[in-house]
Amino acid sequence: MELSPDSIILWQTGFAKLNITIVLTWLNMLLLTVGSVLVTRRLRDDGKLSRWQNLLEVLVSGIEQQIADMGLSPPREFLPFLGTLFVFVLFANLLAVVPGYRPPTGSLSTTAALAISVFVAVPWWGIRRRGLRGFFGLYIQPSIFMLPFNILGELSRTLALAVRLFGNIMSGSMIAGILLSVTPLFFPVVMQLLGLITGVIQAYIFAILAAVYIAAAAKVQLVREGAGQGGSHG
Amino acid sequence: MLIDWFTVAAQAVNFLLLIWLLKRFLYGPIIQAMDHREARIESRLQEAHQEQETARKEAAEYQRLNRELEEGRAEGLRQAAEEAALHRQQLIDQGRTEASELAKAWKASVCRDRQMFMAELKKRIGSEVLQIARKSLDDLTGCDLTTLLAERFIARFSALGETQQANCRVAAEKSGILVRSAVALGEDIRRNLENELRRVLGQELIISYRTEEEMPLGIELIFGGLKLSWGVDSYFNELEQQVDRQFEEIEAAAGDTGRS
Repeated sequence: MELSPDSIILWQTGFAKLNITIVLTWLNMLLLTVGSVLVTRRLRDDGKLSRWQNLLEVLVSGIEQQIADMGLSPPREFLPFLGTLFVFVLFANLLAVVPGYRPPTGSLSTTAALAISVFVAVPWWGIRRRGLRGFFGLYIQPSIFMLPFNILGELSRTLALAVRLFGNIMSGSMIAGILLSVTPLFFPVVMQLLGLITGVIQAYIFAILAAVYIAAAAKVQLVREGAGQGGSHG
Repeated sequence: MLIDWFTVAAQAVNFLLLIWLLKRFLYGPIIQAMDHREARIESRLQEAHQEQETARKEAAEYQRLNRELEEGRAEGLRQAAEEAALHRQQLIDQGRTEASELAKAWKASVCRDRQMFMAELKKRIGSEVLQIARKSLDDLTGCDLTTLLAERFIARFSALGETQQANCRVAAEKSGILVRSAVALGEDIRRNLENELRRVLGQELIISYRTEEEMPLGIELIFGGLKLSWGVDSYFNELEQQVDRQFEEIEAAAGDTGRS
């Protein structure tokens, strides 16, 4: 059994390759986009709402509320990035119940890509909000001697972000596979259900941690607290 | 190798693409719809508040008008009651005045009727008495009543006192003497009367006669402002007084019945 779906390569030419991770990510993107287009093409802003519109509104406004609770203001500025992180990871994890589907989040490459996106997003908003000096000044807090530790913390938390998601999803798939070979009845189903819960929780944790990191960098009041959180999570 | 860097790069691009796709097809439309709905709800709430405020003002206005109407109605009722009382009093006064005028007119009419009746009665009685007396005297004694009356009058005239004769003389010299009687006096009586008058009052007298059928039985001498009469007038006056008393008693009895 492969640890990562990256190893299932459908097409390759030189360095470029098309593995199952990328294909299933596209499938995931296609489902999300087509679903969104189907629901939002008949949006109504008066009268009775459709169930799907209602569901999406609850989802979007819930994410917005969570972002606001993190202290990121205005939340709509961060909604596309953090919301997409959550929705992408959530759908990838939930689709794991479909037989034959290998969740892209079970690939360390995918989770690393997402973690790198967060790693880039943090200075992006930090510099926009605080300015170059203000953002990099955070790394010498509370003293210049903390600079290497802060940089290490920054890197390690990114690594932890990637490995945490990968480890959880990969292990879920592995356990399901192992149990399937040992006890083909009932247990795999229970584990799949557990996997669903784990998937949802991991999607939430990933998005929330990203929000916390960005908030630590972007929000002046949360400088110390955010830095502390960053270190602990790392 | 767990990490494939090409896949990492591809997934990063995929992720950025998904951000754009979802922003374009999910967050944008959903947020726009929510914002529109919120704006619509806000505007409806504003309208509702405005309408509520308008309704509150209108309610206050209606209450004020209602109060004014109530007050006006009470005032109107009071005025109407006062006007009705005044009108009623006016009608009562008018009725009393009319009743009083009617009573006056009735009394005047009764008085007039009485006077006419008395005059007629006097005339009739005089005429009847004269006829009866004349006829009975003529039948029983063969004497003329007028002649006897005239003779008696001449005798009474002759018996007047000096003062009265002097007054008569002065008056007769000024305006002459008018002799009034109910029936025409005969030649003898006239001659006797003139002789007596001239003897008492003087020779230069102008004597004229007038016969008036309305007169009761008797003879009258008119000297300018003086008058001497001899006849049944005093009896008639007494009779008239008696009839008046009767009338007054009848009126008093009618008044008591009307009041009761």
